[in-house]
Amino acid sequence: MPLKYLVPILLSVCLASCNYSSKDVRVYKVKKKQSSQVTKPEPVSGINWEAPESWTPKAVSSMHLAAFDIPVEGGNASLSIMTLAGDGGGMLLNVNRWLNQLDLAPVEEGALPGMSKQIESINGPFTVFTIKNPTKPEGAFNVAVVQMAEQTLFVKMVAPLQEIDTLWPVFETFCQSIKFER
Amino acid sequence: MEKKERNKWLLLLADPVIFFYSCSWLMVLVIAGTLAQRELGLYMAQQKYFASWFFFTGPVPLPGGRITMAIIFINLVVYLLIKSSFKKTPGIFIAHIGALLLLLGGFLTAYFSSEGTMVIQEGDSSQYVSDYHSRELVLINPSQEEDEVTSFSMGWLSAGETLKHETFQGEIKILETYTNCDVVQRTDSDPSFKGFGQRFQARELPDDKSHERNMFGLVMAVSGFGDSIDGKYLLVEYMNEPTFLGAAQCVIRKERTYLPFEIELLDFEKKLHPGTNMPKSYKSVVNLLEDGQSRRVVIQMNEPLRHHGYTFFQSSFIEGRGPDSTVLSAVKNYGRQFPYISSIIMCIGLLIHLIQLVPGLMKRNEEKEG
Repeated sequence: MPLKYLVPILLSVCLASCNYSSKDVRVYKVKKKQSSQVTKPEPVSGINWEAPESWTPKAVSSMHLAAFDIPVEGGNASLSIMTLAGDGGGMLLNVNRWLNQLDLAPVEEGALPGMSKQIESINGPFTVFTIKNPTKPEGAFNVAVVQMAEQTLFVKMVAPLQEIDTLWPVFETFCQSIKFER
Repeated sequence: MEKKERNKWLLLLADPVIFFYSCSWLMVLVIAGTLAQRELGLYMAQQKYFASWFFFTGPVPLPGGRITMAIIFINLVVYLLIKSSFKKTPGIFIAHIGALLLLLGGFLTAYFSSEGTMVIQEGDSSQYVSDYHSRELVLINPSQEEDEVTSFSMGWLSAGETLKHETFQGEIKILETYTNCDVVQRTDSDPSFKGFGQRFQARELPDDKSHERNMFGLVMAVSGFGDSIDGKYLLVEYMNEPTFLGAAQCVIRKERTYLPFEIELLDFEKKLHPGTNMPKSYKSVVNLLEDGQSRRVVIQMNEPLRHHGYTFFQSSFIEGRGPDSTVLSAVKNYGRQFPYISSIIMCIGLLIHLIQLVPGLMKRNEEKEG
């Protein structure tokens, strides 16, 4: 190749690579098993519970394992069970999310032990929070959290403020009935 | 006159002085880059000093590794073609070819190689490699048997970019990006945010020295998907709450490369030094699944699996309350063979040159003795 072409070509290659960009758009198909690994929580096999007969199972989204309507006086109550991958974002993040749902101020990590209590069960202790806002009588939460092998299990009861303490024993019994493989 | 002028420029380009000063500058870069690793971490130091065309030291721009090596490459090529002679000095000519191949291999590695990890739990399998550094924004359209994934690479993930594709309606505009961030409770109320971003906001953090530990995040404005979906969204790596734009799930994650084969982890073994918790060796027993065929392979220290241009090294492991997971480093490097081939060629060239010099040296020695 004549030299008069070679040098400009080499210089062009260098200049072109200066403008190298990683702006790609790829479209591809992935088998279902692989896509389920993205972020959606996977259904947990080997997990079961005993719900009171008065609770009515209701349709659930893909995020939840189960949900129930609970008959109470003066409003509606419900309970849902869900799992999130890993630690589910951590205890502090979740507690602050629940506080925010009831228009309460977020807390620091150090405040968590004082807010929580433990329910002993066959699978180990559940960490439980009761979250109430006196200015929001329509809803308060009992939430139980337990770490499973690869996921975190959340049990959340939503009930009117005046009923949330009354429902505590039945919530505790339900959490203790949950069995899963560690 | 024109030819003379051209020859003058070519002679200037072929000047060995250019090679000398460029190589000296490369040595300076190597020292500066090595020292900077302490401050910046391995990846950022490599990017700043070796993978850049120019970098700044204060307000002063200085040539980076790429332009220095490009200058050396051009200098060697022109020297080879107009000054070096195969007939007169075949050894030098061959050594130059070897050096050029080494630089060419470096170019291929810099632009076309990929590195990442594959994490597999015992009893499970994986078909993709996650890049160490690049992220991608993907829209996953689910269907019964397989999902259609539209992936926008890292080049698109900067503020001001607009993402559109025929696989989805509407458009996504990137408003803010964070190379490293964490998520905190939202302190203000912004009704334009939907989903996760209604309650949380990203807080920018300085880049981690281990670049792969950075948590990438972005804020995007979605339009044209429908009134109930259009709005601003916060996406952060590893967030547990999925973001759906209609039927499509939108995720930010480490860029994935899907492979034409699958690796299934049968067993992971870890041996400790006696009386300590220090690992002595790790071993992954895997099944390589391809076209309905299965091949049992052991991956361990100094025994990587090489397949379809990829090399899988045993890199690390994850222990938990459940089954163990193996962490394999996966490397695809088109320039992998070049250092070996070029080193052999340079050795041959230098050997020939030395042999060629021997008669002259002997003659000079005889003259001195005589």
